[in-house]
Amino acid sequence: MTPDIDYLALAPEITLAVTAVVVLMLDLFLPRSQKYWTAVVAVLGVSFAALPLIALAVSDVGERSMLGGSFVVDDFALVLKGLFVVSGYLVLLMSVSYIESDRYYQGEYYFLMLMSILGSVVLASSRDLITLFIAIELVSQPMYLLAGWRKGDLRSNEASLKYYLLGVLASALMLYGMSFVYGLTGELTLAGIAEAGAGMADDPAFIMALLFMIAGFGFKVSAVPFHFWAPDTYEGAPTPVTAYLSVSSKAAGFVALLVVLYSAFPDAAGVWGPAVWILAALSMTLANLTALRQTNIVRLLAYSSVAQAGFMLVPFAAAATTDQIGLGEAFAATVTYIVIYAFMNLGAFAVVIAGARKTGTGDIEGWGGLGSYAPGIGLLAGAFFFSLAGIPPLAGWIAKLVMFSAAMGAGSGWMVALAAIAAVNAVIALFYYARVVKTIWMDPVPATAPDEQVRTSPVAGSLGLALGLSVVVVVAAGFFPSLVTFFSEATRALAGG
Amino acid sequence: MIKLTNFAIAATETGRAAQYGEGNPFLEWAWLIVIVPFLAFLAIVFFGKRLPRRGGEIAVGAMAFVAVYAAVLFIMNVTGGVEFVGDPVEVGKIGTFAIEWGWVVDGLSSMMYLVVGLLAFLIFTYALGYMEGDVRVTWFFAAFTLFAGSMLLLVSAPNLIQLIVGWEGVGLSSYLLIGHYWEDKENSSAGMKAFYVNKVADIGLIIGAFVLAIPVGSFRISDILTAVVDNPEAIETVAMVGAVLLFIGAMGKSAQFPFHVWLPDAMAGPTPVSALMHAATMVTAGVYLVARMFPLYAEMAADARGLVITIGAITLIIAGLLAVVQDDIKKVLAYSTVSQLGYMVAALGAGAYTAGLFHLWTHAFFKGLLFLGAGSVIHSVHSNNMSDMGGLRKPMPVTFSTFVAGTLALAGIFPLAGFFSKDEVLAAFNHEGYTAVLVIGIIGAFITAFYMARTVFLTFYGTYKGHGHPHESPKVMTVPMMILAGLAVVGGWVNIPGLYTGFTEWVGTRAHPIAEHHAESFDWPVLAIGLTAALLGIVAGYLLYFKDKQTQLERDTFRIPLLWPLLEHKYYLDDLYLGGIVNPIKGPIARFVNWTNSYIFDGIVNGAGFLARAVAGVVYGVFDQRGIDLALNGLAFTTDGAGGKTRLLQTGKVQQYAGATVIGAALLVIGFVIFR
Repeated sequence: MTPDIDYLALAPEITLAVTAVVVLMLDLFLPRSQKYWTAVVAVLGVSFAALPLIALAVSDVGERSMLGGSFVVDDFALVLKGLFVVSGYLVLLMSVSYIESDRYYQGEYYFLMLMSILGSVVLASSRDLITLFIAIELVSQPMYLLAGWRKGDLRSNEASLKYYLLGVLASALMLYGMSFVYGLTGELTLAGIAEAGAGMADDPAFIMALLFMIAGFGFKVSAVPFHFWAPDTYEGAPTPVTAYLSVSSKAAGFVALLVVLYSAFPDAAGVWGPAVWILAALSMTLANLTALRQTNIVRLLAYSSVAQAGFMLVPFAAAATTDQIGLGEAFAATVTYIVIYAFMNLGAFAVVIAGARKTGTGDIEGWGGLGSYAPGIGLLAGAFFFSLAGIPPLAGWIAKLVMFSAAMGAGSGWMVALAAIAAVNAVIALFYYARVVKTIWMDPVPATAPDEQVRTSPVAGSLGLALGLSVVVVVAAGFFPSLVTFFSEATRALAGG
Repeated sequence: MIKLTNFAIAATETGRAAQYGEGNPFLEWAWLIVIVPFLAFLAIVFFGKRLPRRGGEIAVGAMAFVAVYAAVLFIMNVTGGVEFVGDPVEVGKIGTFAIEWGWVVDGLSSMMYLVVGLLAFLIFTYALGYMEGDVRVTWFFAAFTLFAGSMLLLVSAPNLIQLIVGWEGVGLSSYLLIGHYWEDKENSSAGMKAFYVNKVADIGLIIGAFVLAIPVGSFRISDILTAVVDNPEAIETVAMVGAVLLFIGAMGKSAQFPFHVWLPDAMAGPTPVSALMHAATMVTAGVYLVARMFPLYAEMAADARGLVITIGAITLIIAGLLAVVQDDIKKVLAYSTVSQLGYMVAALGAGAYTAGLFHLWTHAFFKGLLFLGAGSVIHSVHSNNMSDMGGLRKPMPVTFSTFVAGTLALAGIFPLAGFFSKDEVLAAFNHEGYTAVLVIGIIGAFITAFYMARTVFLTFYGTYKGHGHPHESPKVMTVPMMILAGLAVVGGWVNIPGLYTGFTEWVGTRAHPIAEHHAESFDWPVLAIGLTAALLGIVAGYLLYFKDKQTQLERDTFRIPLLWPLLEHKYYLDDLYLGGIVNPIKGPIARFVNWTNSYIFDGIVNGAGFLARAVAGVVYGVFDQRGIDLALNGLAFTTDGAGGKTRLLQTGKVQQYAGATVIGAALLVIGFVIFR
């Protein structure tokens, strides 16, 4: 008997897969000077993938479940798929001029990128451990290659190899944990695990399995102490790939965490809550302090993204100490944070790409006076960096607000302590974010700056579009948070809240 | 120890039935006051450069609108009382909490709208002249408009979220404005300092907002205050903590000890910015917050008022003393502001709601005036230092006479504005039984009069010691000064005990009435002592500084032993913050964490590798078997012996990182299994 396939529910995945294959085929036949068509097709393909998402969102069917409950399209899946498609779209826009200037393997680049996006879109629907594992690996594997895309650059090689070796290790840990869970519960679907594992929260093997999975996901979201790969890899990888790693790949890790912890292990919240408490506190504090000493803007953003992961983990820790409603609130808080973070961090990386082209360097010192010869980039840098710092009325402030709300709402002393740690970290973070903006606007143009022609060269259209879209979301969501909270509230059904 | 009085018993409730409310078109449209500055901001950013005055006209126009609208609201409040909360627009939800934009018009906020709108309009007009030909004029006016707009957003807030947004907006735009002359590194650092100090205090505000909102289930200020009055069980347990946390936020914005360090440095900004910041926006925000939440402090968290009055009293005296030793005329005024804010905060702490706000009201006029006067002098002599001034009363008659009016008002000389408000504050201390604070307040009055007399004599008397020929400022600058001088004279006549107490009624018109004591007449002994202290201060200043000698140093030999080194180093607070907090975090702590990141895990992993190799050696010696050998080689690869293959990498630390990952996971597991 063939399984019942709901083609509309699979349409986004199918669109992405077909686009990826078309891109690969096109690459074979196009002459070198025409390779940019691969970029065009990739961008169009990702845009088309959004159409069935909209159709699914407005349809009356509600939850669509297939393959024995392994693949589910519900509100949570739709919102996160939407996020992955949009952030994939923005990354592709950022890639166009960057990859074109390197002049090789354009087709393969877009193919791999599309595959990774496909993985993340599948991930949002995965509701069993195997599908989940395959999806999350499909997100990561192309990234191992893309991180080393600049073959001639030693640091890019290092980035790729480090990421790969550590990534494989993390996957092994995760898989090891998953195999234990299967062994103990005899179930693969998350719902089945939740049922079978209900009384197991005291079993050491069960705890070990759960924590190994958290460690594996912790690597994907680059939480301390699983973050060591991030700064080196971020710095070495091509910047659009770094943007993707710090947003989509990180969000994929969070989706896995959300889905697994809230729907497979709700009864073990007493185990994973404190574990995540530790990861959150460490990530925020260590990453923020380390970021203070960074002189390279990409490394700074790397540590910033580790710290932001810490902020996103805070509501998880809160979930352990509250009732069902609190669980749903914590869940929605993390989703809200992820969505807002995606736009402000992609924007920040788009600024880095544009700024690095004009200043010819990734050293923050070299960015002095950027605001004087590229005021637009300077303003955008201010918007994204202050948003990351959580200054109202930019959207990052709403992210921080929901995070605080979840933490304070939990009402336990431990969570108030974590909220206080988060608040202190928000102040520390302001130091390095504001320093970048200060350098851009208030420092003199360094003697090493490139000549007038480079400095005033226009920003590529596609990059400009990415910048424009991100800044619109970051500003608008700051004034009208429901632009984001409408979606994140829709997802909380998954946590039962 | 400060004694707390439960004044609610003896108090007569104020608050009158408001005549204007729902349905009044002026109130329904009052949100324009908040929106127009933000629209003006956008207009200046996009079109300002193309206009003849580089965007300044848009800014002044917007502020004129705000001032006129605020005046209408104010008059409505004076004539009949207004109490109105606009229908909020819900823009999002966090959990069960709604995020809303809305606006409140009542006695308290209409007074603040007028202060902000009027002062902003006059100061913006002045800035047209002051900033003419300056660098980045367009950008200046854009940020200035944002500054005023954020303050109006804060004042209009019906809920704590909107209040925080405005609050942070004020902080951000002040950072942009203070660092305006950023070519000079000191100025950009001053901007950063203001931003950071405020941000640290803001932690209190944000957490405090949640502490109060969560048990009530709403961020609306009216809901929280209703809970305070009608449903104490809901909020009792957190009221004290919440009140203290909110006050910590207020201490940052209102520059209360020990957060006052940012305000004098903020003088690095253009003088109109200082004028607005000190008179109407930013520093009054903290006072406004406490006043807005006053029923909380009055009813539930009475103990929190002990902290409030203590902080206020400390601030008023230490800042007053610092003002005495400054050479920079703007710094004298800056410390003076800190000191006067101390009076306002201490008054609120004593439970004297009206007195605190009354002093805010009069202070706005004379401090705005004094800053504009100082700006006019600086504009003319191109120096901030009083040692470069002297004898300016002849070439700058308008500046001189208005500055003297402001000085007398600030010193509290009858019948100028400051006399009435300061007397009311002192009388409140006396009535509520805070004798120690009353004494501090009277000493403060002496000091205030003394440093202001010193400023006037050093700046306007004696011989001119600067370069070039000082000249009077253009009309666009002097007219706002004259208007403010008029207000500095008459501004206090709206609240004369026993005669006319309109101001008490105006600010008492609000949804949650304020319980406080209202005197039937002057407290004559306090009045006499206060006025004498002020007059003595002026006399002392006259004796020391009127006769002009050659150098500043000779004139300034009035130095109290022991106190002088403290004052010269600003009580070593800056050194303490830099050396004790900021530098350790930026320096050793961050370096240590950075270093740990790179090296400590190496140590652990190398140690593990070493152990593995040692074990391997033993095992190898005992069982020389191929299978075990292979397994151990595998183990060695992951730990220490891996070098060969992974050295290809630049740093070769991958195996350590991997080790850290494994160790991290293992520690989590072990920790949980053992310690649960």
